[in-house]
Amino acid sequence: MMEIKAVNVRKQYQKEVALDDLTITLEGNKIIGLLGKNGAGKTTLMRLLAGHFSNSSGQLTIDNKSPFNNYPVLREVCLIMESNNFHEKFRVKDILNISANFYPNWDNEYANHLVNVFRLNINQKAKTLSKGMYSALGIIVGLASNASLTIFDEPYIGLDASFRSTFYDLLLETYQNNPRMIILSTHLIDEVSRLFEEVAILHEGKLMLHDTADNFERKHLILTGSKEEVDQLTSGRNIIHSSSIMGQKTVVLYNEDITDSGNLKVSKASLQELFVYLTKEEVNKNGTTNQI
Amino acid sequence: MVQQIKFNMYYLLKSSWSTILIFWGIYTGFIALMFIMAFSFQSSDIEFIGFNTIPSMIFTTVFALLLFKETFPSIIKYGTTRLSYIFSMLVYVILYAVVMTVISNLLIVLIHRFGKVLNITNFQFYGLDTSFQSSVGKLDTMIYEGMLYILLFLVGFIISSLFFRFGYKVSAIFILVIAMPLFIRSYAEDLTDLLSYLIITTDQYTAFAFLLPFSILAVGIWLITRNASIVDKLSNK
Repeated sequence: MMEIKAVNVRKQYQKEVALDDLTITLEGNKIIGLLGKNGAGKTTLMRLLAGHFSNSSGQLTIDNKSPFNNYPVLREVCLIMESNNFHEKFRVKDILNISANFYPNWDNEYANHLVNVFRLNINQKAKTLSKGMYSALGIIVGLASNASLTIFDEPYIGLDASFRSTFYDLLLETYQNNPRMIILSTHLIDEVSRLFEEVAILHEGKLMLHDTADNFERKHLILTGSKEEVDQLTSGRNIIHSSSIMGQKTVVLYNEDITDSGNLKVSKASLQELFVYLTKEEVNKNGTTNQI
Repeated sequence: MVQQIKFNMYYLLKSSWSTILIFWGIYTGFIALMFIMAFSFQSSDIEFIGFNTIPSMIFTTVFALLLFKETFPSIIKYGTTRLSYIFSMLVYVILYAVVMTVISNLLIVLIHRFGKVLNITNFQFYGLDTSFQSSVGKLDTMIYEGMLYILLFLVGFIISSLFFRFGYKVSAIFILVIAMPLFIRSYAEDLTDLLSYLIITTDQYTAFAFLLPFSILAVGIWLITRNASIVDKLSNK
């Protein structure tokens, strides 16, 4: 089973720090959601895993081997980004042929099936494809590659809701047929949250949270009620978000056990809402930003 | 490594054959047009002269400049190593030189044949012309032409890789530093002496002398690309 280990990984582009001492371990066959705001370092991490460049410092390994310039490791990695995946001069059929030549577990029959599903014209050149169709081509390559580590970085730019839904179904189908590690980075969290078994949230180049999707669901709590009651119950606790309106206060607690909520209304947030609460730059009353 | 080189070669050939074909297509069309004009103006004093080698040499340099930028990131994205890319490129450049030399010489033979058949006397078409040097045979000239293709290709490739990796400023400074000695008379004279080994019409010439610049350029390309990111410093893509 695949294991990705990052220990104090730092990646700097001239003066800009994209990853800052990132330490994370991902292991096993599962669909992992890699979330973060723009500029959080998600794409950098994924590109490091695909050997597009090397890290500035720290250690990044896939199955205890560095992916950079390492063919035996990288032939098992397929990264599909939102753009610039393929040589624009090539026709769809050329790209599929090249991918078939490269990925050892390529499923040609499945690729042809997906071409029909997404209604691609195999004779069309990549540069003439619409944004949505270009994304569909990336999705086809990613799914048919059957790579032990398949990474999708916002793979559906321009795809309509119907095709996006098809992609989610296909992702689950291919995962069931060939369990492997699939990392999916997206901003459309509500649409895909049901797919995630594990979620990692990056923030400003660092790992903010990494847990199973079930734990994310279990560990948070939204309390709503009168300001006084809410303040009394939540004082000194880990509040990741709070808002007040007309004397009513709502707070979101993370990793806190509340056995008796009294008169307060208790509810749960969606993964997307939770993500927003966690990553929104809010300054608490004591002057610090959210801490998990 | 062999498996990677096979994949890289497939990719390099797939991404470049049409460009080479288009170049020769346009060039042949241009020659055909000159040919027709020469045929039409046969009775007048107008003469037409064409050179095969100069356009194909210019094409080679520009082609190499673009090929690196187009293929390096795409191939590395598939996971092959930078070392395998360099090896593949070296195999590719040899194939390229052979193909270009063959097409170039074939074109000259065909045009001369056509000229004879149609009895056109006001159209002269030359390749790499060494006929004034009696000691240089046809095969030697062809080998020399091939060597020039390789040399120009590697020069284009190293310039392209330099700009790709380091961007405008650093590359420009680097090229300037490399070119500096040319302005110092004693160095320039030494360099001219060394270059004479690469000029087919000189007595010192030997095709093996090309191995030195080839090696320097290949090592230079390797040093530039061995840890290069696939993000182009010029476009940041």
